[in-house]
Amino acid sequence: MDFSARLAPLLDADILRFLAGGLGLTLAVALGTIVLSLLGGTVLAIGRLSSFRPVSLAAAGYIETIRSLPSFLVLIYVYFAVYRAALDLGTLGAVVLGLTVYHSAKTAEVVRAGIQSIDRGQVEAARSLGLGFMQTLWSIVLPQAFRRMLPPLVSELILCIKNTSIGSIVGLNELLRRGTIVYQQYFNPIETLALIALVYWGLCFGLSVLARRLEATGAQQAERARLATQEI
Amino acid sequence: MTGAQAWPSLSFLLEGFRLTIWLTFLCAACSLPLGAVVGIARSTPVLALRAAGTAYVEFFRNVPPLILLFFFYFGLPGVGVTVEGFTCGVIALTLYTAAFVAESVRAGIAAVDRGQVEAARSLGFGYLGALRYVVFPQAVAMVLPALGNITIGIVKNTALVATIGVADLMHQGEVLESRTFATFSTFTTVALFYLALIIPMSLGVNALDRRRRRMA
Amino acid sequence: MQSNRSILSWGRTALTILAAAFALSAWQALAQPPRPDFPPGSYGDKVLKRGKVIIGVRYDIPLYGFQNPKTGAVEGFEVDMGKELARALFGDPSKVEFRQVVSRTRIPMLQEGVVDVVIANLTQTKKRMEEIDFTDMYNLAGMQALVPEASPIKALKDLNNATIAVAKGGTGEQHMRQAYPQAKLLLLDSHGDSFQALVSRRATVFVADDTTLQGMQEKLKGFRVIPERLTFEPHAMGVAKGRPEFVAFLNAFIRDFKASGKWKELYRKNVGDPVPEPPPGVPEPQWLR
Repeated sequence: MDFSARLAPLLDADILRFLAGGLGLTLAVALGTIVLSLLGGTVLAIGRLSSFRPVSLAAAGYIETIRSLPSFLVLIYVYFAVYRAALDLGTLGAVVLGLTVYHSAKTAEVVRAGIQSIDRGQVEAARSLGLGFMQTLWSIVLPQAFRRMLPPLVSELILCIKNTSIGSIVGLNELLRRGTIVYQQYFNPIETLALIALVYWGLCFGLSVLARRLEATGAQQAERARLATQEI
Repeated sequence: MTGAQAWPSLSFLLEGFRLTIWLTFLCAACSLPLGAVVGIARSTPVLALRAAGTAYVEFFRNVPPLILLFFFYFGLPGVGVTVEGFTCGVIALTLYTAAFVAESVRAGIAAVDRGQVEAARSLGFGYLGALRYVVFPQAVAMVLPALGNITIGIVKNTALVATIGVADLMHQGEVLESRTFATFSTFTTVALFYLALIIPMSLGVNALDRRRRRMA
Repeated sequence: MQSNRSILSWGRTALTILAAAFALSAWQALAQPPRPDFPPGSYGDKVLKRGKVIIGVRYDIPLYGFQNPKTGAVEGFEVDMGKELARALFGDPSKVEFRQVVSRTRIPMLQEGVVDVVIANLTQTKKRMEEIDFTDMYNLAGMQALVPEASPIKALKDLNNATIAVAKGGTGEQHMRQAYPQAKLLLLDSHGDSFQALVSRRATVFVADDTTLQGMQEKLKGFRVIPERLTFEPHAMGVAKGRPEFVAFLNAFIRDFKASGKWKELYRKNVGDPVPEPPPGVPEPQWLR
């Protein structure tokens, strides 16, 4: 098959729309996952910092275990668990839940670092003014912490987008799976995969530029901290 | 699964586990030198090298490793190049991981005090000499924990080769599950294998990190 | 004597007429499309109340269930069958929602109720019958081997020296492992991937149901099928356990689907000629593994 015949399907508006639908789904899954992981990660981080031993141990156990497993395995596990538990989430919901279970563990460390980066002095001042633990957390610590957590959270979003491609294995009709459907029909794997790779690259590169811009302040410290906990 | 049934399954998973370890070792052995070279290239005053290094890092960091795997396994045959599954895994994961190694090395080199480089130059070391004897060893010592984390990342990413038919731990687990329908016991066992490999590595990295902090 | 004969002949005539009437009404009853009468509170009732039936189909098996990237719509024999099922339930073939299933998700999606029924090249096997219920067989497929035109592999016995590409999670992998233990197996996630492995010469044989091979062969010349079937694969619809009234309705639907000629019509439309006879409903014991 000659080159133009292989390239033609990728210049076809209908097929591009088909692939764009996959991109939309990828973005939806990634954003949904990050938002839910932020919630889950915050809960886990607070649990980890709690002075109540069983809670902090349980949270630490969850975080360390999930961080030491491939995202592929966690996704498959949660996917099957969802169905055995009879939760009507559909493929999309199961993938989002699976990725959330994974990314909550990673986000928890980001949140914890963020909380701990807030000057102890502020916490002590708040407490001496009569604010309780939860109140201090909610109105003093977390708002400032979240601003500092934005760059690593964007990095986590980039990782999440990469992980959504694994959803194709359980039948989620996202960008990679749709690309596979296209090249299996038209026998142009290298062209299609190159296009798909370019789209992912554009997305992730754009976000990484954003992360770096957000990191403009305190760059050196952030850099060293980031490299110490570098996850790929 | 009864005890009698569990043993043949365990050895089936063990075969996959061995392959996972071997694949991790090969990827680490290839990506560390490659990443170091790219990281050094990014730190040189030569613009062409810096640009090439930056292009490499910015490209491979932002493409999902699964896409790279598919590109080598399913894509290349489209132009007549067919590479065996395991080799595709090594190549794809090496290229991907090296980008992160390069970033760490670059940051490590940048973190070495400028004064040391100048002192070395004034003592008669050339640029490469200063790099080799003064800067690089310190840089590596500083980023060792990060490199350790990256290696842990390699272990996790090897699970993806199951999608291109390489009989690693994850692949064996999937096959076992489809045969026995014992979903949870199978995947829990697979998880335990990964934990047995990764948790000691994490403890090692934490120890390295503590040592680094004490030295800094 | 004459009166006796006339009574006898009248009797015979009457009996013949009665028999004919009985046969006619029986034929009519059989030809009657099934009526969706479900006991209230049953699963079938729940489907009726929902107003649409949710069917799990393949999106990657050409001719039977696949998504057309140009239109985004799902097409194929099993998809059309699903639309007929919607017509039987609601009188309207559009009252159906199709969801994608892959080999590993077919059974979990049923067991939980994400889909009401699976019409996805699903082979009935004894082991699967422990997990879900099956309807009557609607297609008798068989596993076959696809090789390149010029391949030295001519008969099934040659498979022992081959590298066989087959999809994970299907009956193919298990059978090949048992029947050809010396062969090297290349296990990939889908039939499409496994076919690509054959195309790129990573494997020397691709094994799948003949229904899968039909569609893939069309698209690329240079391959041939080894005619001898490896196994028989009775394809039936899958339903979660505990819904006997729904299974009974589906069976009636399948019987009617075959008897009314729809089976052949949709087979010709999707797969093409020659059109075989639809298979019986109950698989022969030797087909059930």
